[in-house]
Amino acid sequence: MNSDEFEHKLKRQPIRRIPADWRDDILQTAREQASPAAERSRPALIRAALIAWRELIQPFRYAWTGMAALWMVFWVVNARLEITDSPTRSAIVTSAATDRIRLFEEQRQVLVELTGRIDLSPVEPPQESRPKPRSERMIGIRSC
Amino acid sequence: MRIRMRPGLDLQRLYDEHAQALFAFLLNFTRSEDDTREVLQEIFIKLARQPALLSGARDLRAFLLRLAHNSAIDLLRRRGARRKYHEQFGAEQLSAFADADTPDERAFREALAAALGELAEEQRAVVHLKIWEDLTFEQIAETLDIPPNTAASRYRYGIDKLRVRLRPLYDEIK
Repeated sequence: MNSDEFEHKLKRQPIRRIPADWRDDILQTAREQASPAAERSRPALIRAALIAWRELIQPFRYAWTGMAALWMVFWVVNARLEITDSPTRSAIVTSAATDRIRLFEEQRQVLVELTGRIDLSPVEPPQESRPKPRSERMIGIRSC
Repeated sequence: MRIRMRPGLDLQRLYDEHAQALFAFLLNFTRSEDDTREVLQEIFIKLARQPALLSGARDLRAFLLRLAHNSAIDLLRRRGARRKYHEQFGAEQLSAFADADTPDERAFREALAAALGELAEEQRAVVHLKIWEDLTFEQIAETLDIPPNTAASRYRYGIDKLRVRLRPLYDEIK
């Protein structure tokens, strides 16, 4: 079968005619949709949303989609970070610290028994130093 | 009734001159009369709202075909799931061709419609524009926003598939 012959044969196959009743409907709808009256008849909020969609979103839809995807990634990463930083993990850390303190106390007891010292009173925690007013600090310096 | 939207855009004339070509292209591309109508309506609404779209067009027909192609792709993406269902169950075996006078011609057109339906959408678009719109590969490339070499290779693959598929029938009725 000759290539040109075949292509000519295809070219001779006529495509269906467009249905005649479409014409008026399509043109009428286009006219109505485009008329300022149709625009005005919509609520202001919908009109603003449509304008924003037409002018801002639709022409750059790929950029917006990309940005939305990026936000989704951020959101997922953030959610995962929150999960790893959850109260369960804090509880595990706290319980490990308590165990370590208990162990330290036991070791201290053993040490006291071995050395024969009786003083088992826990070491007083250092007193919290509170900031004093400037005038009091000056008096302290002078008295030295 | 003459619809003149704005000075410089005669929507009715635009329809009379180009709607048939857009219809044929869309029917072949979407394989659905409903989708064809929807896209055609969408195009004319867009043009009525934004007549300035046409001001930059060098070749009006090519520009409208490009608009049709882009709108059809958007529509098919939106309807992806439904279309897959149709393809899977063959719910719509649409012929884009006019009725034939003889049984041989009718059989050939039916086979051609079926064979076109088996082509990938992008191959079908190129084959349609080359065969029934008589566009060059450069024009097709511009219309479909692809390189001319891609247009040529898609055409070659498409036409080869059609030839293989239709060879027995073509040899018989030649």
